[in-house]
Amino acid sequence: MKIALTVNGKAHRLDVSPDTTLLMVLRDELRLIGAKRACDGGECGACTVLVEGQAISSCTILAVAARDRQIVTVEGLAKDGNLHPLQKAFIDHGALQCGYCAGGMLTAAKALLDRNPTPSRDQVKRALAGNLCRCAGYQEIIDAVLDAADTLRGDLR
Amino acid sequence: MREAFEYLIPSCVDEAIVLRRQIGERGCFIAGGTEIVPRMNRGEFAPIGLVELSRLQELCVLDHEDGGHGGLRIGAMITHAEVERSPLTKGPWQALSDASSSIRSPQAINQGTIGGNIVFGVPSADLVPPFLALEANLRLKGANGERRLPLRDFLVGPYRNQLQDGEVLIEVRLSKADENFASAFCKAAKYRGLGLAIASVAAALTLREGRVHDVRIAIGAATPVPRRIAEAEAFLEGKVPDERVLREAGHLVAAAAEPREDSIRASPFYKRKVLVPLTERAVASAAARSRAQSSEGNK
Repeated sequence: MKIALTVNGKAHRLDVSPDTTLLMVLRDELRLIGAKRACDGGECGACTVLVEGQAISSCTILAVAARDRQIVTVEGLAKDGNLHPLQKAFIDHGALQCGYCAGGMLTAAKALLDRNPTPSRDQVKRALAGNLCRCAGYQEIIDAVLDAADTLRGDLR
Repeated sequence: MREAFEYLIPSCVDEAIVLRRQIGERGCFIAGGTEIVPRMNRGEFAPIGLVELSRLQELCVLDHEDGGHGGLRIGAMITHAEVERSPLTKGPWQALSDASSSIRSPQAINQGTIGGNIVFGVPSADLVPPFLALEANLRLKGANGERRLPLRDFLVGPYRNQLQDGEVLIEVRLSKADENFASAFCKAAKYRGLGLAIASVAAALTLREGRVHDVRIAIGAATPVPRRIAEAEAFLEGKVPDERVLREAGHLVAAAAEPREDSIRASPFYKRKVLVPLTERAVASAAARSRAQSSEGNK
C-alpha cells in the first residue's frame, strides 16, 4: 500500500506491506533504528515514537494506520548537530547503561515536557510508566528528565 | 495468506459494514490496534483482512445529547487519553476518567479506544465496570440497521459479546445524571493502581442528607464478565456510609465474586480479600464526590 509519512520533519512516500508495523517501516525502510524492537507487544516502551505529538508504541500500530501523520523518532530530537537538552541530561546523569530503552525513554519524556514544562517527580514517573529499563537506571532517568525540564524552561526565559 | 492480506479504509460506517461482510469471518475490524497488532506480531492471529474504524468521524463523537442538556455520548473510537482529558467525563461520570487514567502505559492510553476496550471483552477491561455502574447503553449498527442494547446484556462471556457478524459498536450512551449523582473507580494492580487489574470496583450513587441512594456497584477481573453486585447495592441503599457499613458492603461484594482458580495475576483468595477495601474506597470516594458536587451546587 502506498502511504505518506512525515518523519522528523521529512516527507516520505512509501510502499508498505499492510501488515507491517510502523516500527518495522521506521527501522527497515527508513533506517531509523533508534526505536527498538523488544517485546513487540506494547509492553516495554522501547519502540516509543511521537505520533502527532503523542507517545505511541510503534510496534502496536500498523504503518498504514499512521498514514499522513507527523512522526518524531529519537533521531528527530537533536537539531543541527546539537543534542536536545533531554539527551544532554541523560548523558550528564549517567541515565544510560545498555541504551536499549533510551530512545523510548527520551521520546516519552519529550511528549511529557512538550505538554507540561514543569512536571513534578511523580508526573515524570507517570509519563515513563510505559517504559521499562532492565539496567534499572530509573532514578537517573527521572533526575535527567527533571533537569532537562529546568534547562528547557531556562532557554525560554 | 500473507500476500492476500488486505487493509481496508472505509470512508463511513456503512461502508465499513459492507467491507467487513465482503471479507467475511476471517476478517476483522481494527480500532486502536493495541490488542490486535501484538497478536499479529506474535503470529497468534492472522486475519485475511482488517477494516479500519479508528478514523471514522461518526465514531469519534464525545458530546452531550440535546445541545448540552442531556446525557453523554462517547464514540467507540474515543481514546482513553480523550476520556482522561475531557471536561465532559468529570462530575457525575468521573469513574470513567478514573478508569482510563489507571491504564499503565501512556502509550496505550493514547492509542487504545473505549470501543476496543468494551468489544475485545477481556474480563479485566477497565472501562466496563464504570460503564455498568453508569447503566450504559450501546448503539450498534449492522447490515440490518441500528439497534440499542444495555451494556449488561451485551457481554456474554470472556472475549464474547452480542455483536453479530459485521456489526459495529457506534457509541456508548449515558443517561442524564441526577443532580449530585457521582461515581468512582478503584482497582488493585501491581504498580500503584496502574496496570492490568487484579480486581476492580466501580461505584455510582447519589448522597442525600448523608445517606446513599440509587447505589450501583460493578466489579471487574473477579467474575467471568464484569457485572453488578445486587446484594451490595441493596444493602447500601438508604444507609449512612460509615466505616462499618462500607466494610459490610465490601464483604458482600467479596462473597458474590467468582474469581478464577487459574488466574495468573492473583489467587481467588487474594482477589476476594482485596475486593473489600476496593469496595470501601470506591463507595466512599463516590459519596465524597457527591457531597462536594452538592456543596458546589449550593454556592
